[in-house]
Amino acid sequence: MTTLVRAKNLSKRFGNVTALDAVNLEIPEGRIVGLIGPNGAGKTTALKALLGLTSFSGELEVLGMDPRRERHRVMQDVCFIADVAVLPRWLKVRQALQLAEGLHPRFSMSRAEKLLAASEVRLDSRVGQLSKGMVTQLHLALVMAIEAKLLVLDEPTIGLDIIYRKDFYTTLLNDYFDEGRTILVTTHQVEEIEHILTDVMFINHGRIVLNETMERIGERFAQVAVAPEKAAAARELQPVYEQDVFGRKIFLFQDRTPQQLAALGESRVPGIADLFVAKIKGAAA
Amino acid sequence: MSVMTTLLRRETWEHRAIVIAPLVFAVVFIVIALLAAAGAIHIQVGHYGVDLRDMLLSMDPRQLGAVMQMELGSLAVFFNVVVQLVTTFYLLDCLYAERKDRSILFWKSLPVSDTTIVGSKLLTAMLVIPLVSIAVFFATALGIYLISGILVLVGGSGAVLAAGPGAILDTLVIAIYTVVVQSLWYLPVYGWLLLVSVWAKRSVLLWAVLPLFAVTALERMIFGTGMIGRLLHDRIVGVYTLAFTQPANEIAWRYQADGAELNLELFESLTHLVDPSTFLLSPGLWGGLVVAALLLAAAVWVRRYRDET
Repeated sequence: MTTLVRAKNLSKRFGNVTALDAVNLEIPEGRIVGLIGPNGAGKTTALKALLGLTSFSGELEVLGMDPRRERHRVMQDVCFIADVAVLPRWLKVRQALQLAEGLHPRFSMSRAEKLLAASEVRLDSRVGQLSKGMVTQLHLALVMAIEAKLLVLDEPTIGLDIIYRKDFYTTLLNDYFDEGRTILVTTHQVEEIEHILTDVMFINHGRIVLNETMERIGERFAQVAVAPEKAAAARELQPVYEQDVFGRKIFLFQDRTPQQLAALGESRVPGIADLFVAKIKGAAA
Repeated sequence: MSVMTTLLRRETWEHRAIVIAPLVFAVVFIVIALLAAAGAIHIQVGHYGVDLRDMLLSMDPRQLGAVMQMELGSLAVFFNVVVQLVTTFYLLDCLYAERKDRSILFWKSLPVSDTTIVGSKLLTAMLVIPLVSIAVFFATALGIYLISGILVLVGGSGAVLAAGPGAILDTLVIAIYTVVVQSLWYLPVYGWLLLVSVWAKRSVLLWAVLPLFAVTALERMIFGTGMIGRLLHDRIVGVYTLAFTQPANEIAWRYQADGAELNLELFESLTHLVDPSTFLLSPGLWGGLVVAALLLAAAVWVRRYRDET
């Protein structure tokens, strides 16, 4: 399997703030990776380094190239949608398609037209006249019509209402993703993407604190609702995190066998959001 | 379509003044020509009205050609002023607008290098804006020629119709020549405007002008000299004395009618003004090109490496 992104000791400082602290990571082909972290954790900095939009120290390879030196070549195989990368308001939809066709060697006009025909976006509208949801539909159609190897999404659905948000990921999964594609996505709305992810990375204070496939998360982590009288027994197993919910204690365990947990109560695989809170808050405690 | 062609088209989509500004003036001139043809506007020389028809009929074809060239030439000068204004504001805006409307990351998501992008802005200023304007000028000249030609033909003389094509062609030659020498001479100015556009966080116009005033004033205060001021002045108006010559073959012509008197000294053909040798040998041209290269490299560098989002 090919590795699309390889980072070694990737670091970035702004003055005396460390945005990325010796990050090591690899993203293989054909995965959907969620990069999740609190505000200011270094998500966007990591993505920008990867897209050649910012300087950094350490090693970083994207599709075997250095994004700083060969940014425009990297961008032939990498697409991105970021909530800060807005389409210009003066641009007409038709012109956007013509632009992509003229500037992107891997763009398919017929595919983009087909995708747009299925949306509410009309070809003679100006971007400035479209709603935010429609602009995102347009941007997604442009990107999906490009035969890219890596798609980077930075908070792509921010500010959209729920219907557009659902559609966004459904379209992406059904009409775009296959073994040859890789998607790297950051978002605050973890619940929305957790069912489509194959891999999860947590980032906090510029460090990767968790980097697992979804299967491994199911194997390694368990969440158990424990009756108050068994709480002491549960604490002996050194949970990563505990919280009170409706009079019961919810414990989150890492690397415990099912046998160890069986006595405490029924265990289940934690949601990414719970795991995230446990990892980030647990680390702070 | 090639990448550069697409990028140049994109500039005309965003900056519609490139096409609209010359078109507006074309319409104005055509309307003025029509009004004049309908007799709604009279030409006045001094305090006296001049009878256009009478005046035209009194000229021989050579004189008529010269008069038409003068008329079309001043039209071309007018279009040239429009070109300079459009170019200046275009260059100041082009790299600033993409940051102001936050679309820069969208543009950066396309596989086009920063050198190509900045190159497309420069080519728009050097090529697209002048060519559009010359095309519009040509159409306007043709329109005015047909209006006045047909009018005079109805009045009994085909002289204007006969002299027109030559006059239009000569004016076109000189308009193209002017644009070429200007683009080369103003290249460092274009480079400076692009650098300001890519760099300034706001008030691009002030950033473009104030530093130049400031260094000029500083030089005067500290050294009591005016070298920078002279350099800037030369850069703005110096190209014309370098690239054009005063021809000897002028034709003088005098028109007299009841009370009206017109004394004109005309160039037989404007093309006699063309003389690129002094221009091509001037250190100002080549020094300017070196400065332009540095400024443009700086603009590319800033667009490539500045990270402010």
